[in-house]
Amino acid sequence: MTLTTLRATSLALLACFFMLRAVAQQPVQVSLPVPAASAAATTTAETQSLYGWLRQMHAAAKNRSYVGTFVVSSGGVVSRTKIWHVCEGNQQIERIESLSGAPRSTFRHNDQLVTFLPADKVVRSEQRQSPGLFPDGLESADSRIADFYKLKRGGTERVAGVETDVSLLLPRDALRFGYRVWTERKNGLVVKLQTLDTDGRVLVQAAFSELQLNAPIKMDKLLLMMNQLEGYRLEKPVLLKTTADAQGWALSAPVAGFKSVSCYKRPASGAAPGEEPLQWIFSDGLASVSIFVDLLDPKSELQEASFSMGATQALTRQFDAYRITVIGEVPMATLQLFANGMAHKK
Amino acid sequence: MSQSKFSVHPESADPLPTNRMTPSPSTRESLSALVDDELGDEELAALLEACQQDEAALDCWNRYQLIGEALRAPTAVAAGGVLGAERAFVNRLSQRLAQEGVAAPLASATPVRQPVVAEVLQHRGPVANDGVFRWKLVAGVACLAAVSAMAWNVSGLLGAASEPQLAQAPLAASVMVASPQGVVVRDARFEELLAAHRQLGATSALQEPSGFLRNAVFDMPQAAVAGR
Repeated sequence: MTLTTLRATSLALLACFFMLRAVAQQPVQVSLPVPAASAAATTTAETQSLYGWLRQMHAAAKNRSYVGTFVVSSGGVVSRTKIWHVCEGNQQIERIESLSGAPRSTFRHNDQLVTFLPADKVVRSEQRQSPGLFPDGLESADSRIADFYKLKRGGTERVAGVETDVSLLLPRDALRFGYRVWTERKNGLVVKLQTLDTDGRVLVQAAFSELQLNAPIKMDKLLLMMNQLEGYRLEKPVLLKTTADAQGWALSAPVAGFKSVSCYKRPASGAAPGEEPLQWIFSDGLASVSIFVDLLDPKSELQEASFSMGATQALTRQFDAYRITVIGEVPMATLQLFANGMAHKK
Repeated sequence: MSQSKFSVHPESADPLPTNRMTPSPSTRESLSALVDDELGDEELAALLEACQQDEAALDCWNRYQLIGEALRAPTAVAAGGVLGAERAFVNRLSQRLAQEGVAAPLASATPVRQPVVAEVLQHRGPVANDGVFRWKLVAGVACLAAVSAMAWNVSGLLGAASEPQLAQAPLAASVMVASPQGVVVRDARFEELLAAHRQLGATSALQEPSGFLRNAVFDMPQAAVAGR
């Protein structure tokens, strides 16, 4: 009897809870336009506005020195990192120290990326492969971004003690996510960034919790730390630049807005020469998708599966003797288009 | 729940034996969706109906709420402080885990390959294992397993405040990660691809001007997996 009463009460509470939430928490709906990509609707003014905004953002990142603590929450997990960013002339250096999870520090000096993993006593040194966003520069990327995203100016807000302008980048179709960006008023430095799903819900949020602009840090000090490799084993991952075409792969149906950016073979443990896993990268200017192709172990049976954490989605499928894995910061349906569009020519 | 947000692995469709502690998989999914505010009116009605029939459902709901509360408090964590509520949550959770005997495998001091996964698989019966690429979506695993996976993440998230037996969880080759879509088994192979995507695939006009964004955002999974 008591149990029944208790259960009834709990159920009532459960129902109440839902109703209250439904009333109080009408999700902040950002009305996203559904399919119909109307590239033609893009006006010159819109494109220029988006272009100017992106330009300012890029310039800010190249010209400002700062120290800050950065908090990222994605898929229910929160991580904190401390960032030192120094610009001297046209040189840039950055140090990123993880404050949560496994200890890890990353240094980036222009195109050189060095990652220290103290737990494994390993340091990974990589040359950034893509010199810029696109081979033909920001201008072309920008006009494409304007075809698939719409820039909307929001209000102003204070984030980490800095006055910011809030802007929305809304996708013009359902193949990509939206973004809400907080940029420092004076210079356009990105202070906070949210990735929004097609219903306008926040998938990932990255924001400074503390930010000191124009911090007095010296580049040579960071450079010294970056080159302090004693006691660490140096790993240099080798990447072989190739094309999907040369490897016998093609995308039979292009995915609207996404262009092939680059393609690599990555020697992996256990892969015979010539059969290294392939990584083919696509981008629409804001979101990117990697298609991985590797040979399937003939003895094993591949389970088609999908995975989602924050904005990152992944799915895998079998194609003849190959395993195709698609990973990207796009809706699962977009990944499906990529996975289903893959065709082998050999 | 829309297809794009939730995908059921063929294996996870295997019905789990329903007992007092674990409501049916569909009820659990609905409860999870309710916690996340993603349940439509009709689905809610069906869920309430199901809860009437299922004693374990309320138990499960309470646990989901606790987990949701803790995970939805990023500001507290961001501010550098661990709130009393979160500490209380961890205490309650570890008590719960101790009662249900999950803490033992997690606390094992000797690094065993896939201890957590083994725990899950016990609940799921034999599984076809492709051997090379073992990441799978196991949306239908028991509530219990979901709680232990959450605990893993939470221990990393709360740092020093977490209970010792959770903090000592050995780092396994495969780790379960709780995602809003359920519990996912990830292995070194998948981590590698994810890292490769994040390193080379980060060609975004938003991330490009701020390398830190790319790195910070992309270090996330490692941070989650290595929660020790």
